[in-house]
Amino acid sequence: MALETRPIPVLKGKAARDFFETLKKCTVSESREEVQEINRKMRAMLEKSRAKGYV
Amino acid sequence: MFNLDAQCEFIILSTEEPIVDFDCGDANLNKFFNHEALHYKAQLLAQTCFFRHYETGKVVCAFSLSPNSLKTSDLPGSRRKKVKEYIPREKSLQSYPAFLVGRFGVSVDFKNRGIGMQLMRYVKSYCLSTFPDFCRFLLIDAYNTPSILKFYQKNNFVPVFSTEEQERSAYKTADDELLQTRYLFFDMINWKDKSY
Repeated sequence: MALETRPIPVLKGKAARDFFETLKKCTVSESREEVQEINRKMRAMLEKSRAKGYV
Repeated sequence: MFNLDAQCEFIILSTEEPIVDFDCGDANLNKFFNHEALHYKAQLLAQTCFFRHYETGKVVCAFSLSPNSLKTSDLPGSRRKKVKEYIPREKSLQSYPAFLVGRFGVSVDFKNRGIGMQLMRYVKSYCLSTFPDFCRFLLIDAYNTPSILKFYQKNNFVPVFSTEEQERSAYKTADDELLQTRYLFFDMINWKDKSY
């Protein structure tokens, strides 16, 4: 689904201005509760994996 | 519904825990995960993580991460002032820390079960918990196809370059040449803000 083939050029001029404008509009679809639940599950998985020596 | 957290274990790729026989339907990605990921790790270039199904022992999905950055040239004074509203700092940064999600794939055996969406959320969560102080952006150089771009947009990724024309110009690609991939980013500050 994704490749890491191209270096990212420096954003200049209009590209830089547009980028910072876009930044203002960035969002997260998940609610605060959902994000916290995902983080909690991730921490739990990491803990389990650490105990097994997987991470 | 398949639940990655309940039905799988999370593993960071190593020589003890390699990925074998992973098939996500894309030859390049399969080659990377099955054969190249360990070399990337040995050369300190990328970390690869995956979820392994408890029941079958199969790799369900995987991703790789590399440190990266988004760079901007110096902006005019008035613009810089505006930028500080979103990225406050004494001096304007010109290089913003990011992680490149270099590879991202779901096994064909587990497709159409909402795993891609779950995996992307865990990638965000993993980055925040592992690199909490320097992961402002996630970057993806995504295949430029409607279904793949739609997937990333659903996950709140947006194009680094606002138009294809801009991206073509930055890469000095001919006007009539199709962009094979598009750079997308996700601003982790929004994930962090909802984490507390």
